[in-house]
Order: sequence, then C-alpha cells, then structure tokens
Amino acid sequence: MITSLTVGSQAALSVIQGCLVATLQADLYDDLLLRIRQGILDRVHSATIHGIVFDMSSVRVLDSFMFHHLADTARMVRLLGAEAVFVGFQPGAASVLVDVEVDTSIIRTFRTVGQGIENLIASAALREGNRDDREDNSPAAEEKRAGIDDGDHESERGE
Amino acid sequence: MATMNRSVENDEKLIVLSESWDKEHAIIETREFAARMGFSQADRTLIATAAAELSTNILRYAGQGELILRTITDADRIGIEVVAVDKGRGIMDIEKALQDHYSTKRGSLGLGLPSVRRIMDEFEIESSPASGTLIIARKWKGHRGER
Amino acid sequence: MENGKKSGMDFALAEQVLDQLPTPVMAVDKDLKIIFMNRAGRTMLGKSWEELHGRECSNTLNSLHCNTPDCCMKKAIGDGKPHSSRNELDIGGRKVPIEYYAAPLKDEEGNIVGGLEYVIDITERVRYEVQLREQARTIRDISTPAIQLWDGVVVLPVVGVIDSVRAQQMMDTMLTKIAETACKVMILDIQGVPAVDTAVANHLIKIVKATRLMGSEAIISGISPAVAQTIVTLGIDMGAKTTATLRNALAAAFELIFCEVKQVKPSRRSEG
Repeated sequence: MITSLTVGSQAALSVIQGCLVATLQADLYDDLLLRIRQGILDRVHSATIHGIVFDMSSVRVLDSFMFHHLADTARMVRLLGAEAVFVGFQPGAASVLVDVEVDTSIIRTFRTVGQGIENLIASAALREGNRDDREDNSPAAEEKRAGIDDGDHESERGE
Repeated sequence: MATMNRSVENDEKLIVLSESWDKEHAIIETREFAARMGFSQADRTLIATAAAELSTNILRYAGQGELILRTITDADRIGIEVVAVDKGRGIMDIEKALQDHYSTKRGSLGLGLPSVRRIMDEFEIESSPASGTLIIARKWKGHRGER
Repeated sequence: MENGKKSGMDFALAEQVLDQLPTPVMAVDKDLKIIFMNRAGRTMLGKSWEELHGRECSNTLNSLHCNTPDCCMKKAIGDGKPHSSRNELDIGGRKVPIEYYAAPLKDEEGNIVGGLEYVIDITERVRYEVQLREQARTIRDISTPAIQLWDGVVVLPVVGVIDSVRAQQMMDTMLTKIAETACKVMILDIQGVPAVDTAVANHLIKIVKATRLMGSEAIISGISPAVAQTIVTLGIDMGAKTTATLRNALAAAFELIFCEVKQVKPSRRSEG
C-alpha cells in the first residue's frame, strides 16, 4: 500500500511497505529541506515507520550545506528509533561531493529505492529479533546471545 | 584586490539572493552561463555547486546579497568568475572559516568556503563587519588543474 | 626597417626581398594606417596595394584582437617592445587561425614611428592539434574500459600513470557504469599502474568514496608488495578492500553478491 503526502512540487513523501520514501525532485535549499525534515520527523514520531529512504536521483547539484542538512535529518530519525538510507545519487553529485571532501561515511547508501526499502525492512526485523531475544530467557536464546552475532549482510558503512 | 585587473567583461549576469528559493535561480543561471561558455558537463556541475555553496552562505549568514557571473579572459584562455557580495556581519575569523569543520565536528561554523576553494581554480576573500563580505572565485576552461 | 643607405640596400631591393617571403608582412604608422604590405599579405587578403595603402589595418585584417587591448601592434607601438600571440583573421567570412608578431619601428632618434607585423597561418597546426587531442581521448577511452565480469560485478583495468585528468576520467566511467547497470561491485585493477604515491592514493580513495555513495562497493586489486609497503609507510587508509590479484578480488566480489562458485562433476554428455 502506498500513501502519498506531498510537501510541495519539489518533494514528495510516500509510505511504501512501512517505509517513508522522500523523493527530492529538484535542487535543494534551506527552507525546502526544513519542511521535508519536519514532515519526516512528524511521521516517524506518530507512526510505525521502519525508516526513511531519501531518493536523490533527481538532485543534480548537491552542495556541502545540503548534504549535511540531510545527514543531520538522518541522525534525528535515528534518535527516534528508525533508520535512514540514501539512494540514487547521480554521478555528477557523487563526484562533486568527494571532490570537496565531505565526509560521506556518515550515511548509508544504495542504488535504488527498492534496495533501500529491502535494507530498512531487514534492519528493522533484526532489531525486532534482537529485542525479542533479549526478553527470551530460554536456554536456546541464552546460547544464541553468547554465540556468534549473525550480523547484517549489507556491509556497515560506518556509523 | 590587485589581481582583479585581469577581468575583461564580455558577458555578465547578476543574481539577487533574498529568499531561500533564490538559490535555485542561482544554480540554474550558473549552469546555463557555464554551458554557454562551453564548459564540460562535469565542470558545469562543479561551478554550479560552487554557486550553490556561495548562495547558501549568503542566505544563511547575511540574509541577502548578490551573485555576479562574468566571463573573463587571460592571454588565450577564457574562464568564469563568480563573485558573491553581501553586507552582512562579516566573517570574524577567515582562516578558521577556510578550514574544514565538517570532517571533525559539526558546528555552526562551516560556511561552504572550503568547498568553493577546492572546486575553483582561484579564490579571494575580503570580509569585515563594516563592509560585509566579498568573495571572488574563478575557474578557467580547458585545463583540469591539480587540486 | 634599416635605413636603406646604411645597409647599402635601397627600398626597391628591400621590397623584392620582402615579396619573396611566403608569409604576410605589414608595416603601419603610429595611427595604424598601412604603409607597407608585401605580396604574400596582399594575396592573403585578396587586395591590391591601392586598396590597402593608408587604410587602418583593423579594417582589412578583421581579427579577434582588432580594436581591443589584446592587439599586439598597439601594444608594441605603445611600449616599444615586441609582442606576439595567437589570433584569428576573418577574410571574407573565412576564419583563419594565425600566430602573429608585432615589433615597433623607430626613426633615427629612436622615436616610435609605427610598427611591423608578420603573420603565420597556423590552420594546419590547429588541425593537427585537434587531431592529437582526439587521439589522446581515444587512447584514454581505450585504456579505461569498464568490463562486466558477472551480473553486478564490473572491473576497470587501469594501465599507466594516474594523473588528475586520468583519475577524473576513471571516476566518470565508473560512476556512469554504476548509474547505468546498478552493479553492486566495482573492481579497480591497478596492476598496470607503475607507482602509487600519496597523490595517486588520494585519487583512488576519492573513487572508492564516490562508488560507495552511488550504492556500489569498490575493491582495489593488483596491489604489489612494493605498493603495499608504500601505502602503509605513508600512513594511508585506502578505505576499501584491496587484493593482490584480480582472482581474489573476484572471489571477494562473489561474496558481496552472495554467490558461490561450486565444482561440479562433469556429466558423461560433456565428454567427447
């Protein structure tokens, strides 16, 4: 089920498979990102959202200010207990970001919205699993906690 | 600003920045200006990004200002000159502003200037509480200089 | 020009000498009016001496520098020094790229009375330069092809020196490939790169970061023992998995895409 809430013609927020997808249609500026941030935080706070997918595929020019604005929004989302990933960076934007030496390890990235959603759902399931495990006092669960950590398959990109 | 004497104005564009969304105009105008000058796709994005950084800098810290784009020539090469002017409070510690704060700590300092300096070939800045801030950045067409 | 009496040569002879030169030679007075044009010049402009004599040179030459501060003749007459530059003439609509040289002409007292200019048609040279640039680009394109090894695994073999131009080109190729194919792993094979210093390492690190931003993962293969030593000694963190051989990089790539390579028993049908 997909529900759509637009923030204007330059951005759209939709809920797909329990994930909030923020589609950025144009080059970014302060007010726009603030509105998007508000929309995201309100939604995450009031509903069960696995996480946010920032769809960057229509953003051609991304400066360091906007990158950090988005990274900060991701951090706020995490504080609310959800996850955030970025998908669809264009070659031009990616190239410029590394040229100006922004620290790009602070965000998690994928190619498509689909991959982003997959990852968010898997992470959420893992968190659920871990929570259930912590509350489970059976011998099997004890053993599991003491043993190997069956970690996330996607390589962690530094958090 | 002795080095400014090289500029020969063949083509000039003024962009007024007073509202948050004016940044979008700045990006589009800069990209088109650079395209008219024959810069490559990659360079166009770079220069537009420098304009974006300067615009956000002005809008966030001075509230309003102007961006001026110029075509400049020097011997047998042409380049683009991007000038950012505002009458804000000025940058107190320019040396500090030119260092990267984003790589270590996120703070309110971080004016996009290190980015502009990396993107463009030449970078000049003058700033004081009395007269505001003037930034001049130039990129030449043809050679991709070592950065 | 030398005083005819001093060198034992009169003007008529001097004119013959200048007319033998295959390149246009022109002299103007301080107001830039033409006082001499040799045969090559008249031929190039397609004008007779009557049509040229006394006219302002900018009217006849129609170059990009005419009537601008870039005019070498103006500069030479102004500061008494020779000046040369590239330029472009417009002869009846036809654009001719040139190199030209202007020097001041002085009288016996040393006052500047005008200027001398000669022009070299560099049409051929410009064509050659364009060709060279095209060839250089072709060579770069050939030496940086991205090859798809498997679904979602692409390798970029790099041969030769990695300078900033090359690095940018590699980055463009890789990022475009990722955008087009959404591949999960990009292997950068640098076995053919002779030396890796701080500059080259920084180019590679940037490429790794950009690849990751695009949602792909980079593996650098072809690291030699010497390169490994250099990197550690310089205290560089490549920020990505590195391997000695392409074979090992491919194995690592398969792991990243959750693929296994299995040895299977040959079936009887495949024999003979």
